Amino acid sequence: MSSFSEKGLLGELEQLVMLAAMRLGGQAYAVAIRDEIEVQTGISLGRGSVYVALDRLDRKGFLESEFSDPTPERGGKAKRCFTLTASGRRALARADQAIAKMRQAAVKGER
Amino acid sequence: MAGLPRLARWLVTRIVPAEWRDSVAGDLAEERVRRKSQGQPAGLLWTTVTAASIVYQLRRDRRKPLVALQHTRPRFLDAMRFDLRQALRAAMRHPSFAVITVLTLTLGVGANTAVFSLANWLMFRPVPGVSRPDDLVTVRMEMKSGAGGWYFMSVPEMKRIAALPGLASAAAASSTSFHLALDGAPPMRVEGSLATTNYFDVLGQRLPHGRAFTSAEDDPGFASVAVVSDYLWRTSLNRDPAAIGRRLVLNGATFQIIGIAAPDFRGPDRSGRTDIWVPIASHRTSLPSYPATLLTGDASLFSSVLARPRPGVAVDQIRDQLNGLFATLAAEKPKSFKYTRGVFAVWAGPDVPRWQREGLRQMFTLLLAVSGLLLLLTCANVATLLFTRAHERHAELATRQALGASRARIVRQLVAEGLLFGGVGAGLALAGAAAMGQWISGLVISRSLPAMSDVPIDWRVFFFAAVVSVVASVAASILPALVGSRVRLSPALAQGARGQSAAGRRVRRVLTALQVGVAVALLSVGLLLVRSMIARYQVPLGYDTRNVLAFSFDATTQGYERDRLRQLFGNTLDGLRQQPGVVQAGYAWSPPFRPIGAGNGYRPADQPESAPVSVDINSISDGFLPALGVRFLDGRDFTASEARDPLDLGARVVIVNDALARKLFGTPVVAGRRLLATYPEGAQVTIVGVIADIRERQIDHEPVEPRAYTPFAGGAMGWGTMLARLTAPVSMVAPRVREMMRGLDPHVPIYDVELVSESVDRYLAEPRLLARTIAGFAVLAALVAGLGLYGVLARGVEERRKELSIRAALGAGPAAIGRLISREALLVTFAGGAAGLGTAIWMARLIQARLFGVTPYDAASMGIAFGIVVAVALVSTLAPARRAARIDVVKELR
Repeated sequence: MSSFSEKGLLGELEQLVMLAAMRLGGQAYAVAIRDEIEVQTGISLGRGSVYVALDRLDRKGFLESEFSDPTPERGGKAKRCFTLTASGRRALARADQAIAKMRQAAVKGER
Repeated sequence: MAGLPRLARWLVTRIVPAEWRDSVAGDLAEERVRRKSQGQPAGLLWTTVTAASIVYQLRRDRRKPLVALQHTRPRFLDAMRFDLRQALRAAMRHPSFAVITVLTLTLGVGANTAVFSLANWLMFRPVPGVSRPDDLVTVRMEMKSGAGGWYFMSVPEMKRIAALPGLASAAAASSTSFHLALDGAPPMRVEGSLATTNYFDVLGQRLPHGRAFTSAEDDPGFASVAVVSDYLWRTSLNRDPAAIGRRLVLNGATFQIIGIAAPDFRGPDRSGRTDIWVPIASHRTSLPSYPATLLTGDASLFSSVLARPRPGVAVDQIRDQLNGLFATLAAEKPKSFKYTRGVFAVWAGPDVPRWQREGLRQMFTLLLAVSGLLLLLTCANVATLLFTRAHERHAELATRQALGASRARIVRQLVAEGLLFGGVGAGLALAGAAAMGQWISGLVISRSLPAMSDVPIDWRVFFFAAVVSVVASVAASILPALVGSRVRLSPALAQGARGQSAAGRRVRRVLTALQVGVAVALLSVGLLLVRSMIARYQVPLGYDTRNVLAFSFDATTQGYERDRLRQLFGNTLDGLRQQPGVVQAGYAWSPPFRPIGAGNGYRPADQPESAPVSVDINSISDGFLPALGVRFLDGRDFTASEARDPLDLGARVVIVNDALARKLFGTPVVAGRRLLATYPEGAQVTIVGVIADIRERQIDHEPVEPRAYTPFAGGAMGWGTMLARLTAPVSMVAPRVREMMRGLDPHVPIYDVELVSESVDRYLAEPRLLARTIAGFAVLAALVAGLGLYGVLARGVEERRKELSIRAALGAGPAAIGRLISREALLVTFAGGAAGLGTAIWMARLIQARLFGVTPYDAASMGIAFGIVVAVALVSTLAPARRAARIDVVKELR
């Protein structure tokens, strides 16, 4: 149980954020991501939580970001838009599979 | 404008991590616009609080590690590894400190490990060649009185024991000496055993070569077979694989080797030196002097019986059955001496004589107590060292605490350092334990103990050393860690803390006093033992030991009969007297310090009604007493014709010692008076000489007991010891004597060739060993305590530089400053020394039985011990005091 393999694990919040970023394509910045999650699931996340999740995923190398052109409604500030990296996609797939397998096993066990 | 309120802007542009600055500000602005359009609150308050919340969460998360599971505290082992790495780094920064600490711990752990490994070997290690030794029981017929003696058992008795329902099998072996000749080489004397044919089976020993005895060899016709020890096979048979089937000659009779015993097996107890085993039924050929009815009669043969109980049968049940058997035996022979005075004793485990176990246990208790004290001392010493170090690192520790390390964390760190030193110390100690053990034993403790080189270091010793070193290093480091971690941050950080707190200095003084105390205690006890040993050596023996050579031989096993024996002894004595370098010679049945017991009773012939005085007797030839240089108070030595009386009754003349003469007549001038002997009843003997009391059996007992000497023609026993007073070096005489004996009879080997003084040395080996060991430990203790004192003083001078230089500036001369430092040393020394003397008296009373010629309260020993420690203390004061006196006032105060 080394810490190495734990690095690949994703939290629920992180998964939500990554899935939202995937769906939003090149326009995945914090506000849009939070809206998307709320629209799709009805879960209203704290703004801070979204930033923290993005920050962590960025530092883990699962997301990468680029700044869009500044717009006037934003006070001349750029958006920071995120896209999934290859390892981010893999991590997401792994997390999906792990959950699916465990669920399968758990459901079987119940019968 | 789409700007943000000032505070919010400041927060998101200054405090948020750089890569988020613009985007968070933009996001907030965008949301404000949207919220306003939707009529949601988006004013100053909302914006500021939201900004603050985002900033706070982002920053907080940045401090956590990325992987969620590690948000918990680091696991114990990781923390330990980290601590040890830190400790190693700290140690490397001050190598001399580390070396001193490790060496001190090595000393403490090493001494304990060495003593323990010897004790471990004696008490716990299985005896080679005995399988499942705990399932064995030993049966002995002991004296009911509890005097510690025992009666030998006969073969029929042994068979009755073996038939007990609780026992699956029982075996016994009786030791004896053989003259062993291999291939025509001159015979040598070896220890052997007459064993029951199931002996090796009961021990559970599978012979690596050849086979053990079979029941067929209970028949005297088939019994001329022998199993030899691995030792004999290695030393005398050159490990010859074809040794099985070879012939050897035992006491003149031919035997065939059928097996080699397991390596290192020389009897079921560790002190065994048995090299050859033969079936009991072979006794008619191998031991012609044994009674012919040995197998069926009452002749006593076995000192103990080894048995395997049936599964599930407890020792207590066997004891009950043995008691039943004893009652039966006693009923069969109500007049038997043994059955009226004896009782069966049984205990688990192979035969280790109880008296031996008890004596060794006492000795090891003492040794362990002493090495334990030494460990205490080294702990105190290391504690002072660590204390000083913790203090020197005050600033470092304060910084760590300022950075958020808890106090527990600091304590753990400091203890980890202690453990590091302890671990290295334990490693060195284990490496050194063997060498140290050799130094401890140096010589064989007694004939029953092999030298330490044979003593292996097994897991128990490892475990012991590990536990001792962990306990020692934690004990040594916990106090300094607790005190050292009590850091008041601001002053410590501000000035790197010059002076140490009064409490800290007090603790260090107490620790040093403790070391001094232990040193005084150990030195006192060591001196008591050394003085006891010297006193033993100084007891006048009443004869010369340095220039008297002794050697023994035993001719019975070569089939000598009475007349030939007398002739052999006479010829030997005559030949000896003609050797160049020999001025006097004689022989005796029981030479000095190799006692053999025999007794008789005497009363004055003119007082036949008086109670006889019972005495130890020795049988001697003419020339024996003069060869020893014994002084005659009255009368004369035996003449040659008296001593070699062909009737061999020896009952006509007697020489008595001063003690007996005074007890019988009240005066030593009694030559010519007559005595009545108890054995043979009523025999009359004439005292021909009275000798001054001599000590030839023991030294510790006061006074010399009454003793009588009867003529010894060499007939009755067949063995004896020759004594020769030399004027030439032993190295010149001994080879000629051997040659002479070969000329007289090449089949009679001589043994125990040594000066009488060497017999005395052997007799005193144990007290000498003990005195040497404990004195050695004590010297080490004094050195370590001296080092400890030096450390404390030197440190004290460093800390007080400022104070001392102020004193100097105010007019205190170098002498006054030196005195100031010495005073502290003497205070510590006297306080510790006083406590040490108390401990010394307590310990001395514990070992009172081992003291001789000194009382446990011996003022001289304690005074000397105290003096040594004070001297060591003064020496360790010298350098610090000098440094203090030379403090450069100007440089210091600038």
